[in-house]
Amino acid sequence: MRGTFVRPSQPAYWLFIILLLVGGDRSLGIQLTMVQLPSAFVMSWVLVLLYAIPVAFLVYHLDLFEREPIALVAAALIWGGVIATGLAVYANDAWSSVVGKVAPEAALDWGAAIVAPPVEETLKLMGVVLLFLIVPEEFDGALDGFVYGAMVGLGFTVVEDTMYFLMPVLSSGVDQTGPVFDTFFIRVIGGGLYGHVLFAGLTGMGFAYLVTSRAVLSRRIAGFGGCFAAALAAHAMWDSPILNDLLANGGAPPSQLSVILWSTLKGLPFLILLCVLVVVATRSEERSFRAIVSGEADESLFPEPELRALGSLWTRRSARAEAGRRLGPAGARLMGELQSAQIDYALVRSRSESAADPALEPLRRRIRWIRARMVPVSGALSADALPGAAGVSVPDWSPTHLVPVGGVAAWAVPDPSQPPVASLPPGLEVVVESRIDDWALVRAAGGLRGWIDGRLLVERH
Amino acid sequence: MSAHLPAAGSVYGWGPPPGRPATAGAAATRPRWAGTIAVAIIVAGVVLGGIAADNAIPVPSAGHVAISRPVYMTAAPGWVTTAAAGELTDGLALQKSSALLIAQVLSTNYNRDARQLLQGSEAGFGADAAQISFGGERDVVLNGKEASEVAFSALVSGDGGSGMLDGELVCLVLPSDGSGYAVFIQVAAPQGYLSSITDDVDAMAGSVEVHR
Repeated sequence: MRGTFVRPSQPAYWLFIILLLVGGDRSLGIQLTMVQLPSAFVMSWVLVLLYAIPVAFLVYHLDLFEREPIALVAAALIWGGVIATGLAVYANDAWSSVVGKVAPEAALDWGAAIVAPPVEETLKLMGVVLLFLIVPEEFDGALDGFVYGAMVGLGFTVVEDTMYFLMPVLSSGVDQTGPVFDTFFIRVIGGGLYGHVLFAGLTGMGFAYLVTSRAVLSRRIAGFGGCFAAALAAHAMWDSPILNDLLANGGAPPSQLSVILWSTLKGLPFLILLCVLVVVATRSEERSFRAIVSGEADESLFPEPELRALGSLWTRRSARAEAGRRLGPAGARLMGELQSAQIDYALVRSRSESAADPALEPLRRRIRWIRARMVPVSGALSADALPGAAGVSVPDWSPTHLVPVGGVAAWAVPDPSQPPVASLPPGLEVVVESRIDDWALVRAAGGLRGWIDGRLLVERH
Repeated sequence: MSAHLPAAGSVYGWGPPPGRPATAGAAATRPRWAGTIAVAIIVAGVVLGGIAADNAIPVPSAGHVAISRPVYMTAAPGWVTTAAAGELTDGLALQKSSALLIAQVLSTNYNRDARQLLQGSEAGFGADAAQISFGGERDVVLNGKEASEVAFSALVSGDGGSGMLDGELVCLVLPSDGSGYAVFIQVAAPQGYLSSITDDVDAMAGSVEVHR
């Protein structure tokens, strides 16, 4: 089944589980040690989640045309937060010791910059690779790799940050929150944008480009190599003593502003690079989206203004706001549903052999259904007096049906959870303008329209 | 009256772009052994390879070294003397990988306890740190010697380490003819690495002794 992470038939799935047990044992041990200082522990997690939740939301929604399955996103977070961090503790210690023995002078200032980038970026990348091996059909473009890579990086940074926040507290054995706030300022306020989410986002994007692009192999390898090298460089830059002179302040502690400047100079160029790559990948997905829906025979499903509105989070939001202004809060909600339905259609269509695939029909009906509900009803039908409908033109009044004996109730929108707005008298002549499932949108003389149970209508002869 | 909103169907992700054949069902479910084995080898290489390489290289040690005669310390395995801390007029600098330990004898006739020594040292520590925060002070017994220690986390620029560091200060007072030798040990390591050396630090602090 598509999107399912649990695939016992895949050896990669079992490798994931085995490594989860190995890394989880170490990670769990660290967390259990930290929880002995409850105030600092809780404060650390609260602070780090204040950073992580918006970042996760942003990363997830940056993939405009294909939201990744939640199970896989969760697996990516678990790989980063449990497996990669747990394994990195072992590997960093060992390789740091090796560097210290081989090049002790370089190790002191540059040890972290030499060891951590290759160790940690490789381990994080392996998480993305394993996800690909388990669920390859979910990797359709570079942006997918960015999402999974960034989620791996986010999991990693969340767990690592809590460890760093608590390190001085843990060593002292005194439960306190002051050092937690101080470290939070340095790592999150100062450098939160330039950490593992950025590094792993780059490597994930490069890997997805390697395995999904239709470019020649050499170009794909170059793309992957470039992204991986950029991630290593960004990580090494962050861990290196380069630019630390900016913090010198004549013996006095530098201001918090200079700390932010220092971290910005170290990380911003790589963040800009990542943003450019994400924009390029998004544009590529948008072109694919347009190519996919262009084959739809019913052009009314994807009018150009709505296609344009789907192009970014901001234009989507603007379209919803505009619908809200025209139709009220329900209109904004319906516009959101319409956007989701249009994307769902494209997702299914992209995997269909042709536009005639039966799986597409329910999605077409769904789009029409939502759109119909967004058409404002020009007035309420009434049994005894049909109110005037100023401005509504009725060019061709040629009734096709009659309201049956007993009359019928009419709704402003085809939603049975809403109360009916009118009841139509028996024998009233109407025109059926459209049907959605059992609903019929009828127009009576005078141009008034409403939704009724279409099964009850009597055909007019 | 009922409304049957059509189900969205099985909607998960994009398929290949138009013109590209969709993944065949058999290919999608075929076990991918080669890739999985490659991942296992790479992960093992990073983790076990590091451990093996570390074990294969002999562990150097500075051995029994003077902090300031007649006060000596026994360096733990992997710790070697270094000049990285600059000119120490009265002290010893040891290094293990990216961690640095500096031990000094601050006084030869100190007549207070280790906690007071630590509080005095802590106040003057971290002058070139952009941000420094201390944990709580605590009294410990290291190899039968009373000591006080405190952990810190700092953003540092200067000699003896730069960047985000975790560290520890350890103070001991070794009795001597009515007063004592005040020994001050400071340890710093890049953030995240301190936990790997804390046992070494405790062992080395506990090894400090006065040779008569």
